[in-house]
Amino acid sequence: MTEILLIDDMAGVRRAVVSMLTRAGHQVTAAESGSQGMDLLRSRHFDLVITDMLMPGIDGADILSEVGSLPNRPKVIAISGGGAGVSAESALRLARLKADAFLEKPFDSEVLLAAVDRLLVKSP
Amino acid sequence: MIGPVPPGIPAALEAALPSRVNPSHTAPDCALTLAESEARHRDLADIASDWLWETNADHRFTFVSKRFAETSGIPWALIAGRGLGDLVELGFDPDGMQDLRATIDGRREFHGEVHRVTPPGQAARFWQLSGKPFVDPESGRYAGYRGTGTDITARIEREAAMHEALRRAELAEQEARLASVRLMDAIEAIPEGIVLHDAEDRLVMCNTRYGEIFDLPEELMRPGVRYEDVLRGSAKRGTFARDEQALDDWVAERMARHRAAGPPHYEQQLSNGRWLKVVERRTGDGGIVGIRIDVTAARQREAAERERGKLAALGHLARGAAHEINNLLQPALVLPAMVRDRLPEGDAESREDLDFVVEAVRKASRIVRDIGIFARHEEPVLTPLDLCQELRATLGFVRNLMRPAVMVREVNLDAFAGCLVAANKSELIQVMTNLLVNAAQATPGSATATISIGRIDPSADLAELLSIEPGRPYLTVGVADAGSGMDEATRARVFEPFFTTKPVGQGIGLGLSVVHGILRSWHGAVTVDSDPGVGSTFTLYLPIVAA
Repeated sequence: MTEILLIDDMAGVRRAVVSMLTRAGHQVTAAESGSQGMDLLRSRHFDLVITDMLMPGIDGADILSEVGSLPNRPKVIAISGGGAGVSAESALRLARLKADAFLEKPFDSEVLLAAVDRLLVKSP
Repeated sequence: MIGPVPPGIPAALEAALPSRVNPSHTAPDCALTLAESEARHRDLADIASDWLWETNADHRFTFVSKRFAETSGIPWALIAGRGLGDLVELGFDPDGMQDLRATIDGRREFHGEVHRVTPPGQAARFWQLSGKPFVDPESGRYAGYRGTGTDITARIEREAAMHEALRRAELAEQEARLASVRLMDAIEAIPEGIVLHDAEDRLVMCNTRYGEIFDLPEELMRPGVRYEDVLRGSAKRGTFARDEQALDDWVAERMARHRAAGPPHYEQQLSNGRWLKVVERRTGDGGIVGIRIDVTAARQREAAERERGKLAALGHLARGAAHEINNLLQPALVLPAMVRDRLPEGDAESREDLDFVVEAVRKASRIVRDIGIFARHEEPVLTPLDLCQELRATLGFVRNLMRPAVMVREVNLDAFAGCLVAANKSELIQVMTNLLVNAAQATPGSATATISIGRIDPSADLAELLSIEPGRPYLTVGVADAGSGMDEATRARVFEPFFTTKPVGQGIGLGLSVVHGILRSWHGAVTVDSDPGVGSTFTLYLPIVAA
């Protein structure tokens, strides 16, 4: 059974993404902030991390760099609704650069599941 | 009257004088004793302002009057018995002496000849000499010369000084004239309008540029014309952009500003749309010198700058809003599908409702995406594209999206085949779609949009106005329609996001602002020319990367 970690501070997004994934038979743990996600990442292994990029406090960039340092690096899908300002721009650039996939919100179920399947099949 | 008037005397003159005391003295045969005559001539010779001189047949001095020694400082003893030529040793100009000798050798009379004499150790003097040959009364042979001389140095110097003064005056006048010409040339060369009024507000002078700016007829550029008449005349001819204010009030207000001779200086718009800065200053003699500076380009730059600032702020706001909305749309897009699947088999109506919700969310999502393109926060991926080829492909694709009644006409599309511009393929499709949709909507019924390609090397002014790079060639794409056109107010706002003239429901006014945003991200520009009732032409500027 693959383990997926979803990190997003927006409740509506968490609910939608969790619904899509569980219906497709995936095991999902949802974190409602960057720091909660960070704690979970450090406590156990996940095969795939889906993280929002722009969050207050610990954000997607921090999550990406933490994931990069893990011994058995999980795959990462970065998701974002876009944003204004220099920090948003650099976060999105980073997401495109470091994540295994990047999805712009709002995305369809098919798009998300296709990305998840692609990444999890490839993982060892 | 006593006695007859002697011959040779005009009767009128004789009558004007008192009667003679001793008329016998006027008689031509009046006899004098030799002694009397000698005494008389000696006294006269001594007292005369000229000196008298005499030489013999050998040109040796036999007599000079005392006046010579007094004037020249050469005593009689020094030249007595010496030759005329010996005067050269005393400073007489040798060339002058040669001339004098030639005259004397020819036995000719001479009158008032001027000779330069420079006595050793002294400044030059000028002698004026006259002389005539005389003969021995007994033998009738040539016996020498008699004559007079006078020192005219003072007169010569006066004349020389006067001549010099005249020369200087002429030179000064010439210089003044030249300076005036130079000043006028300089004033003519100034690109601004220059005008000078006297203390009574009458025209003293103005340069050609001043006349050009206000399109002044010649009679209003003549010296002496009153400024008020120029204002009134120009206002009547419609030169100034002025509101409904009564002409007299307007002229009075302008005259008051003129007489106040700023600062503060003010700006004024002409009816041809150009803006002038009016700078006026009092001159030392109470007149007013005025400068009219065309500040149209500067004002346009400022307006463009303000516009860019406004768009940047709006873009920031839009991106922030888009982020929030996208997050909210995520459950709105996904969860209805979940609900739909949980509905009982027969509930078709609820399924339809949910489909409707999802479709609405998708539309909302597209609008937010368009806002995102307008308010782009990152550089798009630009690749060198053969614009002619890409445009042809794009038009082929876009044609399918248009109403059948819309004709797309291509003009000279291959004129710049092979010319590469930096652009983005999918965005080019979006740009052309938006422009053609706009053209079609401007033309109800059957419409024709004309697409053409050109090339331009933008001037510095144009480059600045469009915020594109000067000194770099651009390909232009024209999209022209013969639709309803736009008035000035619409044209000014046509690239603003959410600005629309379409009826509610036909568009939210993002299409052209997206075109604007895309062209800007390509380091290009888009402009529009339009006349109500005639149609509109949008022109895209794309930087050429290789020809």
